[in-house]
Amino acid sequence: MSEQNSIRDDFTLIKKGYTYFDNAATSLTPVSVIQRISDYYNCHNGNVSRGAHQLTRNASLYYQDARQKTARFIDAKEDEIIFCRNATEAINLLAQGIDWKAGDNIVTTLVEHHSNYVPWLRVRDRHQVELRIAQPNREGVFDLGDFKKAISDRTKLVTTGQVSNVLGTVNPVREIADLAHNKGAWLLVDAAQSLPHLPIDVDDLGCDFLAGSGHKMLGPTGIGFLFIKKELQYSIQPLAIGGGTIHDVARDRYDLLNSIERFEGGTPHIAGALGLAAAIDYIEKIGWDFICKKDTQLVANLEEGLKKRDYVTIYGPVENSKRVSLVSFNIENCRPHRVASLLDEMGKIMVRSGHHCALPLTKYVLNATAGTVRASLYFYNLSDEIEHFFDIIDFIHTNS
Amino acid sequence: MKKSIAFGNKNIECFAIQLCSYGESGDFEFMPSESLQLKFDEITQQMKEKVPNFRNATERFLMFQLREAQVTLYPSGRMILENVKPAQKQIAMEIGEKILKLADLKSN
Ligand SMILES: Cc1ncc(COP(=O)(O)O)c(C=O)c1O
Repeated sequence: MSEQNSIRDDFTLIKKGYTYFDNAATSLTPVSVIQRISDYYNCHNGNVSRGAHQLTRNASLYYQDARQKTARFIDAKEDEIIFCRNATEAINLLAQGIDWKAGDNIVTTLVEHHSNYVPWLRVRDRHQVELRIAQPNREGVFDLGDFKKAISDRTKLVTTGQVSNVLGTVNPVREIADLAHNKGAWLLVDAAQSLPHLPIDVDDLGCDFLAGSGHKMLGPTGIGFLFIKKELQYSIQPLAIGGGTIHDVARDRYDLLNSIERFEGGTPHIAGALGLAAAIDYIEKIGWDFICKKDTQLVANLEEGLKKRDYVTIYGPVENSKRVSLVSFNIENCRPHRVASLLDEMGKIMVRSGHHCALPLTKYVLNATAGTVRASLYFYNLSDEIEHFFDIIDFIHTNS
Repeated sequence: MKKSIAFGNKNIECFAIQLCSYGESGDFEFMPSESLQLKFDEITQQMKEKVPNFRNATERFLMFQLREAQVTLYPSGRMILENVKPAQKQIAMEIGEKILKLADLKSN
C-alpha cells in the first residue's frame, strides 16, 4: 500500500483529487517527465546535430539517448526507431511511404482505431489497392481463420492493433505475423494501447513495423515513434524531407542520409523525445511485474462489478476475457455523454464517452450507435476508486 | 462557439462544444466561463412550471427536455444537451441561453 501511495504522489492530478479513468485517451504525466522537459528548456536548449557548441552537443546526446531507450523498451535497435508526432503520424508515414502497386492488397480489421483504418482507405483510393477487412465476432474477438482467408500472395501489408482501444482485448499478433509472413506480407502493429500495459519485444511479436504514442505511456503529447525493421528501411520513402535528412545536395539533386534521420525532416520535438525517455525510465522503475499485476486486479474488479449490474451492457468478451484494464459499457436509458458528465460532476471521475475514434467497430460490430462509456485504468488507480465509481453509476441508473 | 449571455446582473461568456458524435444526432456541452452557482432548491419549482417535460430533480442535477434536446443541467450552469443536430452549434447555444433565462431568478 505504501508503494502505491508513493506512486500516486508522483502524479499531480491525482493529488488534486481527480479519479482518472481515461488513460486510454491519454495517461497522466509523472513529475519526473515534466521535470525532464523543463530541464531541457532551462539547461540544454539547443538544436540537435547542427553545431559545435555545448548546448547543441548536449541536446544531441540526450536525443540520441532517448532513441536508444525507446528502442530498448521494445527490444529493437537504436537505428530502427523514427521519432514522429504520434501513432497517427507513424502509421501515415508508412501508408505514404510504401511503394504500392495496383493490385496489391492490405489486410486490416474492423476493430481498428480510425488512425489505423482511414489511412488505408486513402491508400486504396489513391493506388488501386484492395483493402480487405477482417471481421471479428460480436464480442470483437477474431478467428485466425478470417485472417488466413484474407491474406493472399498479393497482400503487401497486414495491419492490426495489439490492444483494442474500445474493448481492451489483446489480439493474437504473433499468430497474425506468422500468417502474414507465410505469404510474404509485412505486419504493422498499432501498439498505441498495448505499450503502456504489456512488455513488448518486436522480435517475439514478429512485427515489421510498430507504431506508438508517448502520451499514452506517461510521456508528453506531440511525440510518438515508428519502429521499422532495419532491412526494410530502404523500401519506405520518408514522409518529410529537407533539413536533417540530407547526405548531400547539389543544384539539381539530393541524396538522403543512409541513417534513420532520413525519416525525421526538420527540427524534431527534442523535449518530447526526452520526456518520452523519462516516461520509459519511470515505467521501468515501477516494473512490469507491478504494472501487469495491478492491471489484472483492476480489470477483474471493474468487470466483476459491471457484470453484477443488470442495467449495464458490457462490450467485448464477457467470459474469460483477455483484456487490459479497460472496459466499455452503457447504462440502460442513459446516453454515454450524460454518464460521463455525471461521473465528472458527482465524483470527479474522468471517463471517456463517444465512439472512441472507432466508428466501424461501434457501428457494425457493437451496434452502439450513440457510442459507449469507456473506463480505462492504469497502475496508479485503486480498487477504492472503482467502488466509488460503482456507487455513482448506481445513482445515475436510479436517477436518470 | 462562444456568446456573451446576460445572467443575474452581468454578462457571462458561454461556450457550446460538440461532443464526440456522428451522423444525424449530436450531443453538445454548454458551459459558462464561470460557475453560476444555481440554487436548485430555489429554482426547481419554477423550472418545473416552465418546462413541460421535466424528468428528474436532485440536488446535483436537473433533467428535462427542451425543444429537441434532452438536458442535464448542473449547478455550475454546465449542461449536456443530447439529440441536437450535429453542426448546429447555434441551436445548442440558443437552447442553453433559454435554459439560463429560465434558471435566472432575476429575470423571472
Ligand atoms: C489503438 C489506437 N491507435 C492509434 C491511436 C492514435 O493515437 P494518437 O492520437 O496519439 O496518434 C489511438 C489513440 O487513441 C489508439 O487508441
